[in-house]
Amino acid sequence: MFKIKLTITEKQRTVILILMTVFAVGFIYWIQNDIDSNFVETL
Amino acid sequence: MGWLSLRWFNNFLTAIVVALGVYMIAFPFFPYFSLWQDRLSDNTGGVRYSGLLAQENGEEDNTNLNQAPEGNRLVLPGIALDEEIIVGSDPNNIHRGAWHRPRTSTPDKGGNTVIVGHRFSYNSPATFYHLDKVEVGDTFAVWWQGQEYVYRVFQTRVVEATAVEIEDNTENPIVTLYTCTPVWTAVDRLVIRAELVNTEVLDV
Repeated sequence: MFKIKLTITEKQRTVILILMTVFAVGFIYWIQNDIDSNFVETL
Repeated sequence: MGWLSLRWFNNFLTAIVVALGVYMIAFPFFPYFSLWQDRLSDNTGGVRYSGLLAQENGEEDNTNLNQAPEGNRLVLPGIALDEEIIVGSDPNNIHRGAWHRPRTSTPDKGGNTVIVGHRFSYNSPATFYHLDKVEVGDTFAVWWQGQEYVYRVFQTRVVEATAVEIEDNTENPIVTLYTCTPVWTAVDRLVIRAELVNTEVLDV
C-alpha cells in the first residue's frame, strides 16, 4: 500500500492560498469582462 | 507568536477562497433557485397579472390595478419576469436590466420595439436568464407610458452575434427580446419575437 504524505509549511500554504485567491478573483473578473464587452460591442 | 499569526491569516484566506469558490460555482445557478422560489409563492411566480394580460391568458386578474404601474415595464409571467424597462442611449444601461434599444421603435409607434438584457452576469441583473423557456404562443405585456400592450410570441430562434438585422424596423407592431446564448457565454443571440394582440389605455 502506497501512502502519500504531503506536508507543507505555513508559508507555502500562504503562497498557495494567495495564488488561489488571485485566480478566483481574476477568473470572475475575466469572465465578467468577456461577457459584458462581447455583448456591448455587438449591440 | 509569529507562526500563530500566520496560521490565523491562512485560515482567514482559506475561508475567503472557499467563499469565492462557492460564489464562482453556485452564483451562475442562482436564477434557477430564484425562479423555483418565485413559483412556489403562486402559479404566476409572483408576477402581477393585469386585466388585459389575464384576459388573454384566461387567468384571474391578481393585481386590482385600476391604474398603470409607474414607469415602463416588461411583464412576462411565464418566466416570472416583471422588470422596469430602462430607457436611454448609454450602452451601460444594459447592465441595469431590460434596456430599450434607443434607435428602435416604441410600442406606441408600432414597428419593431427591441428590448435587450443580460442572460447571466456576475455583477449585473440576469434579466433574461430564463428567456429560453419562453415558447411560441406565450403572451406577455409591455407597459409603455401608461398604456398596456399585450404581445404573443410567434418566433424563437438563435442568431449570430453579428445579426444586426434583428433590430430592423417592421411594418407590423412587434416586440423583439434578445439576449446572449448559450447561457454563461456571449457567443450567439437568442431572439424572441412577439406580435401585438391587444392594447388598452387605462385612466391614470
